[in-house]
Amino acid sequence: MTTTSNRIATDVERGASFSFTVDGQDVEAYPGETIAGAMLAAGRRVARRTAWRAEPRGAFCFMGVCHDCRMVVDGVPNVRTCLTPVRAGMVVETQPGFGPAPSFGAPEEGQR
Amino acid sequence: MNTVPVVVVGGGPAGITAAVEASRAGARVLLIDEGPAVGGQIYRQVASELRRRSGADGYAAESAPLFASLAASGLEVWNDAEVWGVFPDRMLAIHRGGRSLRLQASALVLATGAYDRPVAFPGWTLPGVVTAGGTTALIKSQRIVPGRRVLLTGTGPLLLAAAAALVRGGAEIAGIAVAASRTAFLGLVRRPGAIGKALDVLATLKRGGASMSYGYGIVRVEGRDAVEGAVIAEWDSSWRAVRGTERTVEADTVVIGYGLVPSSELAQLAGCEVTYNAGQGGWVPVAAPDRFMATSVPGVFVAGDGAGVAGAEAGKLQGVLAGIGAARHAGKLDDRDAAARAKQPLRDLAKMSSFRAALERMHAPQPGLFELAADDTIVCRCEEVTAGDVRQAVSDGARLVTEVRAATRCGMGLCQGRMCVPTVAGLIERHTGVPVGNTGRLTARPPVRPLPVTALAEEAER
Repeated sequence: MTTTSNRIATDVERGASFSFTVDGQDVEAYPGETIAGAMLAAGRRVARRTAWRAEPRGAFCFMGVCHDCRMVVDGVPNVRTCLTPVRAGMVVETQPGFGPAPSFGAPEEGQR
Repeated sequence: MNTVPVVVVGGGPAGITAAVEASRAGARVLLIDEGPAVGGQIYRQVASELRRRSGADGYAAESAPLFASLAASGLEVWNDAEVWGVFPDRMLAIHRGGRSLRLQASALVLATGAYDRPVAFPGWTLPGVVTAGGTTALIKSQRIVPGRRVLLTGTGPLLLAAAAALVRGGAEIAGIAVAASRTAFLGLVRRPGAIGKALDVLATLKRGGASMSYGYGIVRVEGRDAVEGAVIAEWDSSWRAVRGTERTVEADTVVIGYGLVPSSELAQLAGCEVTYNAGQGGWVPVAAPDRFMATSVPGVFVAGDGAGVAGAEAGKLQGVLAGIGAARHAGKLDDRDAAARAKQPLRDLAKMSSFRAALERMHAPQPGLFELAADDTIVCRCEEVTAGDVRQAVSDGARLVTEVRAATRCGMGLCQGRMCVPTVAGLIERHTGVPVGNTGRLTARPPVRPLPVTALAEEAER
């Protein structure tokens, strides 16, 4: 019964895999996944380090409420990775504290 | 200003039935949902990019007629759209596709759902501790399980639904610690209408070799950078750990499901009167089924778990009533026609009252839940305020959640207090005897969901 992958493969077919990076390392993802989903499937759980205690945090509510899964995505801080679809070539980084100061550019499509 | 006769916020079961009902009555309806597809959390659909190979699961079968009725109605649906504010005269501010826009609703139905009750215990902020609702959402939409060896701990049917989804998804269940006694729990899930397939769920769990520990609850979660294990213990009826019964469980993931908290912030922004109802999860808008779920604000209706946690079946019926009420308010139904249409859903809702009362008893948090946090346990995940900080503020005289916030910053972060206020209120009650319902609430303020400042700037220029 125990699976070796966090991806359930018994009842769905996935499209072609692609990769994005988390802190510079390649991570595999499939169409239809969020950043947090693809990270969990790869066994990566830490999304950010808190501002004061530098404690690790990861996705908790998976519905955009808790804000603990926020990361720096293509340079934009505080992106809720549990809601944001993952795209090929995305550059995702563990967010330290409140994240780098934003550049005030328009967010990429799909970021929320 | 663009005016729409009926706007429904939230595409879960209650929102869908409300929208469909109002549309059937002849009103032009817009349904706004924050997800990529309708369904809400309970009927969250598998991502469109994943092709389902085999038959639908229980929830998919249950939700199919609902989605079909929505499609048949032809009403307009906006997905990936977040309502970030409600202003006077039912003016909505919406964030959609990186842009902010406003529109006016002649009648408004808020079906905003609920989220998992946050419970502060040592280790609850470690990556790998996840909510029951989040677990099922992740599995339903992405077909990904949050971990390999999972401990579940909590109260109600949602916890079991998460456990069954994990078993079917191939995860190993390290244990299921349920606060209720075996008799109380089985008595509830065996009632008709409890959760779709309650007995199927129990059978699935048995097949998966999952062991249920009734009358057990969480003590703490341990690990360095993520969950490595947890300690559970026998709980008495007030949810206090019985000394000497602690048991260590090896797990990489801990799912917590101690009930749900209604998302009533849009109703609060709209100015609706709210009341505290522990069994229904917290602050809920005052609304009655026999008044079409109308709130204290004319033209604003509520339905579903956001109107008080009662489950999908009750939510669908409330949605029908709210849809009738909204169509009536928009001038599409006269009083007689509205009353005739409301008859059957009112009757069906009344039939569910004893089940709902049992559910409420099971979900109402007991005092021990607010004694789990040690002084160094985080209560406010955003601002890193500890239970010790909150207790200090209370011993310094704070009796309202706003007073604790002023003293500690608890509730001032990005989640806007959703993750800490239930715990803060519980702590105030534990230490002072002031009932949770008298500890106040944080004022809901727009934006209730984060939106980029560029979206606002762009709207201003338009």
